[in-house]
Amino acid sequence: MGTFNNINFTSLVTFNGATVPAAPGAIELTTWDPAPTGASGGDYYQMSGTSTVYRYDSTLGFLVRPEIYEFSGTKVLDETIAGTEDGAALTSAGWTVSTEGNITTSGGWTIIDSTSAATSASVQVGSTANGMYFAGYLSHSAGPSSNYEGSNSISSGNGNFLYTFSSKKTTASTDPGFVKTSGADGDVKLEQVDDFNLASTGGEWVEYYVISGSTTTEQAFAWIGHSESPVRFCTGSLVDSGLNWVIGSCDASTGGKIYIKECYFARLV
Amino acid sequence: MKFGGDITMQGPAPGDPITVLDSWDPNPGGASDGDLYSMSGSIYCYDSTYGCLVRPVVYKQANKFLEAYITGSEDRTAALAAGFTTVTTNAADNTTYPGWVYIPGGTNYWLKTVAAKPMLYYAGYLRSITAATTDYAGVGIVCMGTTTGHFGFSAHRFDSSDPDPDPGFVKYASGDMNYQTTPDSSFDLEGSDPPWVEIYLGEDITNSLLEGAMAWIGHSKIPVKVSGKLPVAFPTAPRWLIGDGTAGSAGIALKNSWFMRATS
Repeated sequence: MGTFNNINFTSLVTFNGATVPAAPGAIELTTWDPAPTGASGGDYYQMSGTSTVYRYDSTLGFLVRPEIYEFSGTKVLDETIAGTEDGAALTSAGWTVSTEGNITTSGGWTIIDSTSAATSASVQVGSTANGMYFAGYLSHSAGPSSNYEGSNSISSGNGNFLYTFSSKKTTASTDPGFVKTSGADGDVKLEQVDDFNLASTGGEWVEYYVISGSTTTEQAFAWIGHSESPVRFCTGSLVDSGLNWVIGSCDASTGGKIYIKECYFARLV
Repeated sequence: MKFGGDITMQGPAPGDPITVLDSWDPNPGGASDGDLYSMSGSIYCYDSTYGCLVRPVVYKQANKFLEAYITGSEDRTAALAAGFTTVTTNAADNTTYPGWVYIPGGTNYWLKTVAAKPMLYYAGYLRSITAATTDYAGVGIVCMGTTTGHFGFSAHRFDSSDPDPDPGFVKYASGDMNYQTTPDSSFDLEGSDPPWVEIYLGEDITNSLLEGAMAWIGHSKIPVKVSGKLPVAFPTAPRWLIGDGTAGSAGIALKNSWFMRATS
């Protein structure tokens, strides 16, 4: 559509009673908002400064990667954590919390502190081989005590593997990614630059997707900081029959401390 | 002009329009740099430097160079004119499979403009004509070679006795270097109308056991192949290589193929 007498018809949707087809547009977000006001199912959004395009999923209630939006099965939002919940609130919300007093809130973040004692919150969900999609702000504060431990992590159990995304994989590097938690690395980096420092102010928007239907081998991707394409592929996870989300220390190790907010825990069935 | 009915304006004005393609056209008419396109749910950006639709991760690169473009109509002479070199005697031709550049077994072509460890991205139609005589041989490949090593993408990673035509990453000179990233990551590039293939190697990738390449096939929304499992080898000859890199003999054909490079 064009202009007429300087009237821009770009957003004209009906004319003389007839529907005018509109090309979908990617609405630019200068500040990230996972649930923008007025969004409708299928709307495109583009994060400013990137070429990354998201779609609003009205079932899940937030912006997701196109792969998630187009998933043909059932999508379920298991849990959300806004960042205002402490250990007691998570318990009330149905999470199983260990060391409840070590989960606190500050400045809009939920803080899971395993520096002195293994602290976690978990919730049982789904059935074997469900897809699992986590999206949320993750900020690193402390840990791990030794390389590839899981005391500063978000984990997903899909009945085959416990996929563990660490906010910092080793004692020396700032690099986040998948870990096997038994002292082994767990991913292939698809972008070499090791510039994902989740200890920086505000952390980063982190997304990972355990592929629906995965059974015999690990299959999960992670995006960090609205990256245009996945930056990590999981190649190593603990074999585990659990069906759950776990935040904090997923392997009972100590030393880690993470901050989380605006987190969505979704499942693809 | 009479406005005889209701005029309804949408609330928020849309941003950059996204053109939804019903059929694939890597170089759509009227495209401008940065224009967004969607094919099968996957997002592409038109890149005016490369002259084709690329994945957003490629579009965002800083210093871009189009190494070569093969339409499918080139014979050996035209392939050399497009920038390729070869030391093999068997000729690529454009007659055995009309519309395709056929690279028979025992043949390879190089682009020797690669230096250090740039981003490399191939996009095009890649067709398996004949499979290798051994599994995971570095033949019948589109190979991204940097000073880290050779990341080969085989059009048919199993040998000719195997009924599975699945493509994927292989080690140079030989070895399984491929991760299937989804339960549906098996494909067939053997037919006359194979799916669109894209292969990406990030800049400064150094070690395939910890860092690697990825590939999209058939406009998949996420990569369906990732390299790894074995360390890469042969870091002494950075280049693009198409065809056979070693013994094993496999035939491939290409058309509408872009070979792209970028550095930060």
